[in-house]
Amino acid sequence: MQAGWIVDLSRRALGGVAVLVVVLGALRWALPAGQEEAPRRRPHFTDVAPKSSFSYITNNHFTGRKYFPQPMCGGVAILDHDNDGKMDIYFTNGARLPELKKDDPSFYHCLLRNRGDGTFADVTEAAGLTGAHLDYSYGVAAGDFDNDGFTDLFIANTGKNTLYRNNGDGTFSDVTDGSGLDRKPPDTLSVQGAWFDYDNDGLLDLALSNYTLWRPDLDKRCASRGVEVYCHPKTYVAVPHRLYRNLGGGRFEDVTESSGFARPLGKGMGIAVADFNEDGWMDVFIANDTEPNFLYLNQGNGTFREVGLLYGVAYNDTGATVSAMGCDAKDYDNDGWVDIFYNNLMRQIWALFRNQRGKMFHYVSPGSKILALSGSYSGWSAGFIDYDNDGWKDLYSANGDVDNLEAFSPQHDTMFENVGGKYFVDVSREMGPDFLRVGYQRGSAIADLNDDGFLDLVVTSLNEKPRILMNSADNGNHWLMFKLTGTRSNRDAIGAKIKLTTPSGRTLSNHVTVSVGFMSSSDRRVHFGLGPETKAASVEIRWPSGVVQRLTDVPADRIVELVEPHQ
Amino acid sequence: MGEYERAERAFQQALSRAPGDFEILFQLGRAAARAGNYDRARRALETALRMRPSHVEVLVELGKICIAQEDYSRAVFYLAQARQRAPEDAEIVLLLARAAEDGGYYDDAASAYDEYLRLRPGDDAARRDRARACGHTHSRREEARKELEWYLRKHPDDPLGHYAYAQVFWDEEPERSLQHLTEAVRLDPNSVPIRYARAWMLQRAGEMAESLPDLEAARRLDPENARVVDLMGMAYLALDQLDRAEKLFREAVTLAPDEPEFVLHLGRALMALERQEEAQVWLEKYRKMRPPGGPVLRKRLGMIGVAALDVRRQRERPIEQLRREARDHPDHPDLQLNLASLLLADGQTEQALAEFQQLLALNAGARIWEDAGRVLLSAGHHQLARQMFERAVEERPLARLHLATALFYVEGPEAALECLRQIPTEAANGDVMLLEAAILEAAGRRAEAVKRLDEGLLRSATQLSVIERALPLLVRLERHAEALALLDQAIRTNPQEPGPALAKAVILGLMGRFAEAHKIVRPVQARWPELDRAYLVHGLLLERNKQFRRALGMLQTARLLGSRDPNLDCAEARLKGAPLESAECACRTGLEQLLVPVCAVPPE
Repeated sequence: MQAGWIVDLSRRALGGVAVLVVVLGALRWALPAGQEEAPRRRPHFTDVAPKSSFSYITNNHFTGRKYFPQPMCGGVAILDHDNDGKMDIYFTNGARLPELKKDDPSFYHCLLRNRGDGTFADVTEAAGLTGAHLDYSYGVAAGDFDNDGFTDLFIANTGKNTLYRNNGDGTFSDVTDGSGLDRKPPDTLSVQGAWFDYDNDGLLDLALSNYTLWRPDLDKRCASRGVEVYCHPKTYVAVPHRLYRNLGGGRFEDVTESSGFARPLGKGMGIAVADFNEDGWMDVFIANDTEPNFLYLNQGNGTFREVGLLYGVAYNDTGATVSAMGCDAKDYDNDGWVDIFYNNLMRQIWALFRNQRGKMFHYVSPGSKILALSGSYSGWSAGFIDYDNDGWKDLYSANGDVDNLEAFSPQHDTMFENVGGKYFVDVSREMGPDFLRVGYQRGSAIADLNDDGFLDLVVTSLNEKPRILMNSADNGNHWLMFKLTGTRSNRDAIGAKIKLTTPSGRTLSNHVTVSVGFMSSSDRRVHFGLGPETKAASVEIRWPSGVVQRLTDVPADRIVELVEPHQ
Repeated sequence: MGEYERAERAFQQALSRAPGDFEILFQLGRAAARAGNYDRARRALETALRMRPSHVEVLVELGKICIAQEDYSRAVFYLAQARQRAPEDAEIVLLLARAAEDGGYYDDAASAYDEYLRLRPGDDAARRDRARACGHTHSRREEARKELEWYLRKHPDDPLGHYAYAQVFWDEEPERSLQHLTEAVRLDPNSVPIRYARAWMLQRAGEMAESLPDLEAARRLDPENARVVDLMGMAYLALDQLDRAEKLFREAVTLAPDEPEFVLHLGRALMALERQEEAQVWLEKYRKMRPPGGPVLRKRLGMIGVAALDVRRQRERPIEQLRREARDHPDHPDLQLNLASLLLADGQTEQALAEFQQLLALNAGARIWEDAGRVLLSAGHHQLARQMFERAVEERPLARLHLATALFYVEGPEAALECLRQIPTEAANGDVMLLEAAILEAAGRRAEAVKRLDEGLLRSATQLSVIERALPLLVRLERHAEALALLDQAIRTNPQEPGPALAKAVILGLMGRFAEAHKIVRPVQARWPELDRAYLVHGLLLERNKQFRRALGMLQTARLLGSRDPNLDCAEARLKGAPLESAECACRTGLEQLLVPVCAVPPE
């Protein structure tokens, strides 16, 4: 029997050191305390979107002519927009080309409120989030930039980018003008923003990946064997990415030049933020399309040093650049160091870089079997997801080719299961028919939409309805999730690191970030799969402010809410 | 001296006695080719081809030389013409097929193999090779699979058949390809390419340790194979044996210092060893030497077809094809550059300039803009050249040299000098200083020019390019003795180059020292009897010495040997008393202009 969506709240003060709020999550099977059971089968995914009524379709306005932006459409954000404890979903959308106008509801964005019963309500209009006044939109980043406890939204557009402030009453206001985020060099096409606190002042700053200079009248047309194709990225120039410092009061300062973000030039796609060298400062990895990838190491003084080539992540092992798309940074081998993954187009080999204790990265795609598994797929959004809660982060990718010319162009998504942190196996075929739907997938987000401790997926596909893929959560493995709220640190606690040790001695690590994949923003709660173990022996939280908090003997299968202690 | 070297010497001597003799020239070319002196062989045979454009044996020899020099597009061009003239010669068709395949023109190669197999249907090995070429085409890949499967059923013990299967299907069928490679290794354990291929496939499958035995075997067989050494390094790097990896990468870099990938790997190994400073040096070197990359276009069908067309269509067809491809692929600005350059070379100047303008609207990159600038500069289109160089200089600072030259013609000496001053001092080599000296001299600032010239010569007087740039200036400044001293040094340090000796003869001629000049020219003619320039120099010397009849004879030999130097046309016209039709001949008045590559007049 499915236990349903049961939530129980209780507050306890523990020794004046921490305020701990424990939320009991829903359980598919209620196991007697202490009993451990080996996983019986792999979970699979079921699309529950058809159960909800909403009209959103990812609309890139493809009518025959191939405009440059069209392959990129359909960002996804996970956020609890109304603080009812349930994760909602927001989608971005394209616009009419070449006019760049959302002059029809088919181009509107979409906010789906999670009803808590497996269905979602379209509250876009009520929330003021149709985006009707915007042009062609791409990535969306959810983050509480003003620390008022309500999650806001940043949207990357072809023209002016957009900052929506959450009013706290279920509605949003466009506060872009005058914020500083309205400023970027003319004709710069932005793809994705990533919230993170680079100077540890408790306010979320924004890194922005930009792709190129483009306007409809600058659009080039390309052909191959007499058939129009989307032009290769080399047709367009590379541009600087941007960094905006949050000054508070809804204002941002463009610190691109002074911070070192201005050089080199790139064609930005996904952004991953993490502290790669464990020095207490958040760094930024940007996947660039057909340009070297960038690793900006935070120097702790307001500047960054770009070390992609030096640290071994700029190119693959033959020195080639690839069409790097979505990326994520997590510790996939549980050695305590955050690794990097990005996908790209078929025959280019997806890249897995293992962090060598913060000194550099090794390209491990061959040895981890990612090379062998990925050659047939063109991946867009992607992310590490411990979908089966065994404590090893697996890899999900939303796939589909750039163009629509070949039989293999529409593709299904992939799930590569992590085997002991050493290599991956393709378990896509066992993920269920909804998971295997072929199409041109683009944005994706990872979230626990029903708070059952098993991670779900939301995926957009060009010119189709998105899928809301619920994890069957039926293999008996245990889990823990942490929802952190900063006080001295930024309220979203982005950058907070969690190290969990199980009774058997396994050490798992993760950190708070929403910037996962491509054009998308995932659930900011930190998830751990525990396998057969029913508790965490110890949990250590390192807040961005420097405060360290420790818990012991945390029972599994619950969402733990923590507020940053004062010291 | 080997047999072929002796033959080459003998033909050389014969040709010096009978310059312009086709048969001797042909034999000289063949002997030089067999002796491995490919540049000389090519020069002799290209001269022979100008004398007899339809000579099949010359075309075939040139094709073979181009193959040896890995100039496959040229090889295909020559061999296709040979095939056109001898269509039933199966060996020529086979050679053509192989050259096309080696050059990556797989569709052309497949067609050539088809033709060969029509002539020799029983050649199973050719069928195998055709299948391999087809495997790399878009439309005949399934045919390749069937053919290779047929071949392997019939010849299961041919390692090349198994290798060919892997070469074609490694991406689509990695496991099966690996099985074929394993069989190939069993059949021919001493094949370095097969061992390497299997090791490479094993590494792709993550089997790093398993790749080592093949690499060790390949290394024993071919110890100087840098690729093998590098791949071993990659295995040890993945296995965390960093010291061994570093050693191997260093060896690979020593064996092949111009290979960027090996430099990258060494840098990475050093980073892994936490020697960041050292790593940074190598990675910075890698960044500078890394090729630009970009989308790879399948090499187009039609290379062989073009060679079979008449001369007019041979000119038109590549232009049509390039125009189509440039329109379809704005992401390949090199196509646009090639189109513009070809139009210019074809005399379609207005169209060419329009296409160069179009290049400015593309994301072309510094290298292409610089190349475009050079083409425009040498053709005298200075304003457009300037626009190209202005875009190139940020990434390629030494393009400023050419920009300065363009500015000199567009705006005058001051603008050019200002441009040169922006080259960082540490990058200001002899070329820069001598250009500055030439501009100062043209601006009438003689004393400054002399000073700069001396500084330039002091800095890098051993480089031929610098000496070439300095010579006209030294002559104009009447510093002939210095010019001679420089050339003596160049002759000593570049004994294989005829250029410095001929330049010395020119200077001596300008000084009126004709006997000495002749004493220099004659040994050059004897040593390089196929070299048209030696006869041109000799002819102009004789003209200056008022020995007009002998001069004309010498110039006619230069023409026979295929010289296209504009000085030749002008000199012949003068000696024959014919009217000087070309505007350039107003500038090319004799011996001095041999030192001036471009006859252009700067603005007042």
